[in-house]
Amino acid sequence: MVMRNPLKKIKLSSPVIPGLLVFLIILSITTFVAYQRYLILKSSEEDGVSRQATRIDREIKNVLNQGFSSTQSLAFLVENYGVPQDFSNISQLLLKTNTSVDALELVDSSGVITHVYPIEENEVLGFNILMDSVGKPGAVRTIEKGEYYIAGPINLKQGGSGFVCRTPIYTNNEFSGFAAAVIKLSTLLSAISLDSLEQSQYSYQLSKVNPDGSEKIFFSSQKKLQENALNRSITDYNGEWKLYVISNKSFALGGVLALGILGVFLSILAGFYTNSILERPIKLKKMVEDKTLLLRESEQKFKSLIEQASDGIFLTDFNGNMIDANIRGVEMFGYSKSELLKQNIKNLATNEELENLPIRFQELNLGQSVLSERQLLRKDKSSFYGEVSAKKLNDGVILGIVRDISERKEERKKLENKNRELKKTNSELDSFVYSASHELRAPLTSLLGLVDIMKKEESESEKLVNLNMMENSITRLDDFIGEIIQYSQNKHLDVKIEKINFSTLIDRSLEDLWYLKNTSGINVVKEINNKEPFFSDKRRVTVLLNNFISNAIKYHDLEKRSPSIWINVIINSKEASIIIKDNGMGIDKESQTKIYNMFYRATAKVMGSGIGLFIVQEILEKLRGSVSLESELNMGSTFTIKLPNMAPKN
Amino acid sequence: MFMKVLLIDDSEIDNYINKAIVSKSKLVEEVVTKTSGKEALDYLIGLKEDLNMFPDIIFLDIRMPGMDGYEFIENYKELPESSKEKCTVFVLSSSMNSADVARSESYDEIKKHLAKPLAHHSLEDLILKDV
Repeated sequence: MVMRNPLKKIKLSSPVIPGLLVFLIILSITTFVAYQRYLILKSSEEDGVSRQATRIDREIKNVLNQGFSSTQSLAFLVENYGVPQDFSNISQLLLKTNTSVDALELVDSSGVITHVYPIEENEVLGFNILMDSVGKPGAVRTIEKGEYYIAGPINLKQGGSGFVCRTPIYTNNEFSGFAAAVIKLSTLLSAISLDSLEQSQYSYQLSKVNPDGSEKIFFSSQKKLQENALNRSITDYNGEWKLYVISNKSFALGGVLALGILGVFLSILAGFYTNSILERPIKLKKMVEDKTLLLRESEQKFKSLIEQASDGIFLTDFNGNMIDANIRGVEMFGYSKSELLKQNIKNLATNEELENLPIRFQELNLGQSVLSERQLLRKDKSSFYGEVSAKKLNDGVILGIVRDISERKEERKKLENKNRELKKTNSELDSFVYSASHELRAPLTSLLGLVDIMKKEESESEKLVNLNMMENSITRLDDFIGEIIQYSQNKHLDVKIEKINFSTLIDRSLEDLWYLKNTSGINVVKEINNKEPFFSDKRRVTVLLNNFISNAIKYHDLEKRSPSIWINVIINSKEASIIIKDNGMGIDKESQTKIYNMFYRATAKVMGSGIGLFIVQEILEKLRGSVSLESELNMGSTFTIKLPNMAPKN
Repeated sequence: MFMKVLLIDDSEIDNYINKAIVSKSKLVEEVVTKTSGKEALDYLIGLKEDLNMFPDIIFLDIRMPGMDGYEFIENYKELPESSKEKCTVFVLSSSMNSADVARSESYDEIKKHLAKPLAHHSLEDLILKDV
């Protein structure tokens, strides 16, 4: 499994920083633009305010100049011609040219107002301005200065507020009073068009500057003025009053602010957009990596499934060349993987097998799956059985799955052998029961017959003949039962190995058969060559010897002059050869192969059950011995028995 | 009515017993014994010239070395009809095996399947009823 940390990789190339950078750049640009716009707006505002202030200044000066020119004219008249009789007419004339002046006055040297025009709304005749706290400072200042001076704005005696412009009058260089012009604030304001509240673009405020520096507001076009509003002050020459021109356009800042906010918004948007744009390939890459990882894992899983499979899995082309194989497949044939991949599947089966069961490429090519059981060949040329299942995967590739079924095959073989053995046993049993019942019954039926005859027989000599026959029948039955027991013992008793003395065994056998031998006068020649000790199963060897010797005696040829049996035993460390030769009847060629069959009898000349040589065969099988026969009818038989020497190894 | 009887059995003892029983019958004039099918067949073939000597009754054993009872019958079939005409064949065996009994009954040539010993059957009845 490949472990990896996708997080680390993403952090390294994270688009957060570029996103942040873009955000900051856009923000600074928009902020700069907003600030520039703010500066432009501010400067244009200031420009406007300044222009307005200049205009107002000029207009105020124009208005106030009317006060100057009218009082100058009046003062000139008084200085040169004395106080005019027709003050009203002259004033009327002066006021016509100086329309902003509301009233003209003459004040004597003591400060009393002596003349006023127009009298209406200016009821100040006889009022001493030098005695008035409001009027005095302006009048005193005029006297001090000795020239034209505008006092105000002040609260006027005749009501309202306004400016009083005074020109001092000197008669013979002696102060003799003032020529004064009153300009009401309202007149000034209307003259310079400041009284209209429609003038929303600017606000105005007129203040009087007190000697202590504080300001007294006389007029304001708005109730409250914004503190940080753009303003411009106009100060008169004497610094006694101030006119503020204030821009109302503070809302323009809102636009700049909106621009700023828009900028911030735009920056955030651009930042995020940049971030998401830059993140997209990373996300895509991560998705690809995740999918690749999943694929790799699932591939790994499949690979391990195939590699760990308990069957051999192979890929070959249609020429039988090996392309790939899993671990089990490589093990199975005993090659290294690289060696196996150089092999052709034809080298992996026996030639014989391939001839009998050729690989069915044609069927495979048609897409059919082909199943077969084959004897397969390992590298070391040993073979095993494989169940092969093959199928075409795609053009040019065959998938083969091989399961080693040697064990199964072995089991099957064992079963088949067992079955064959059982069948043999069964048919033997059938045949045995059939024959045995006959063999058991035959002597008994003979006995019954003989008994029946005996009952009626009177002759003693005949009775003796009958008794002999009865004895023969009983012997026959007894022999048969003895043989059955031998057969059964051979079947069931374990092989018991002990040292064999052939000489003793042969002598004992001849003793047991004396009644047979005695009746026929057979000559027995015995020769034993036992330089090596011989080991085998004594009981079984005895049965073998008894059978061959009794046969040799029973089947002797009466016509021969000297019926003889030659018994020759040769022993070496490997085996014993027992040769039993007689000059008896011999066995015809046809019977020679059948004499070992159960109950087979070659001739009726000698009574017997036909089971003796069958038992011999069974015993030889048990002792892993063999027997061969050379015989000619009427000449005699030679049986050669070979028994392995079962001498213990030490 | 004097019968000629042929006994075919590999057992000398049984031939002796059966001959003794058959000889006692007043209906039998001659008894011949043979110890194998081959011997019996050769004997019958040898009688070709003299039909009077052909047996009237044959007692045949089944289990015999060499040619057994059934092989004998197969060969007996080939004998000329004229000679077999008056001959009746009985199987006389110690085998009570039902397969053998059924096989015996399948041959037209075999009159009856008899179980040994012969003393347990009445020879007179056999001759009077079946011959």
